Amino acid sequence: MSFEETSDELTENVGSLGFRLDDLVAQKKISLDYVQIDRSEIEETGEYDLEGLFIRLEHAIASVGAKRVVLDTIETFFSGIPNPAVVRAEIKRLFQWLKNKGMTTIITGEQGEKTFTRHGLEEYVSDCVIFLDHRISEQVSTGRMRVVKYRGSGHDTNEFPFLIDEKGIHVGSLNLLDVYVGPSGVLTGSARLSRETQEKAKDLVRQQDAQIKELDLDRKRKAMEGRIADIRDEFKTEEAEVKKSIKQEKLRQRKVSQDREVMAKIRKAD
Amino acid sequence: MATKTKRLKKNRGEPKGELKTWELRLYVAGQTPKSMEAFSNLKKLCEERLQGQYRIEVIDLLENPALAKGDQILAIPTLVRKLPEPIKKIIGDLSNKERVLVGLNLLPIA
Repeated sequence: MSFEETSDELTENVGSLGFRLDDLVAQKKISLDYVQIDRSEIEETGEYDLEGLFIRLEHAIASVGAKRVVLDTIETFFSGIPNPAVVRAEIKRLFQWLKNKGMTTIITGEQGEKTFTRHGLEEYVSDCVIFLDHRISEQVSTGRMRVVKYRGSGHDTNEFPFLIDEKGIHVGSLNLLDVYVGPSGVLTGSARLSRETQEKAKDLVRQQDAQIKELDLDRKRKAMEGRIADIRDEFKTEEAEVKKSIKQEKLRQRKVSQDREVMAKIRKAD
Repeated sequence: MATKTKRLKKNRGEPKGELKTWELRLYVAGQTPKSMEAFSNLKKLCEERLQGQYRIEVIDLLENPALAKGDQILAIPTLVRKLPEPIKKIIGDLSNKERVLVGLNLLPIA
């Protein structure tokens, strides 16, 4: 359900991303409903609710057996309704209603002044909130996303650059490199070149660092091997000395026993 | 179309062509108190101000949801002035008579 682009505009605009909406509509895989609100032509007289929106949603869901619903954007819709109390009550009811119907719903909304969303209510009634942001640094414009809330699941709390193209949504790491070498270049022109040069310089430094470390390791290995040789030599000397002394002792013992035998013979001869 | 419509034609032999016919369409969703209120308020007002020159069509969106798209209906009840042009929309139970008159572009009784 679109509140900003008409069905024709939508069909044309997402065509560049590879979606053929008119075919999908013909195959009953999607249902488009453009909701137009012109506050100037609406006169408010007494009590009302937004049941008409629910009926239209219900009808659209039923016509294709939808499991997913997209509302883009909720602000356009609710800004067309003059009564803020009705808006708040109906936002709540809408979220709950979609949930009860088992719909996975993506609702886009604008950022509020102090809250994430304009009415400061949407983020509380949603199960998941993703904050999208667009920033320019060094003439490079990057879309960034951050998961603010994800009920029933752990999630990363950091901000990540992202990119939408005909292949889908790419979410990169914090390293900008991932984005610009990714799908067909986000960075273009001199900004890209300078970024590449920077990256190359960093690469070179990293390479040199690696070489130095290797040399250092070599040196250490040689030092260690030298020490091992020394210890071995020392051991050999000691071993030789010990063997020599053992031999002498054995010789001495043999001498003693020979001497005894000789003595005994002499005594017998007496 | 299986639209459940109530047509209230009030033609009491007014000279044709001289007076413009008012074509009003009231969108409701089931017989809720608000819808009933809106209908009775509308009928009263039309009898007072537009006797014999109006036609009210009540469309129940619960029975015919596809019709909501055509007139871009969101709020219930909504009164649409189809004729005379331009199209005007008045939302709510029409309890505020002055606002209804403003919305319909009907000048207060002199």
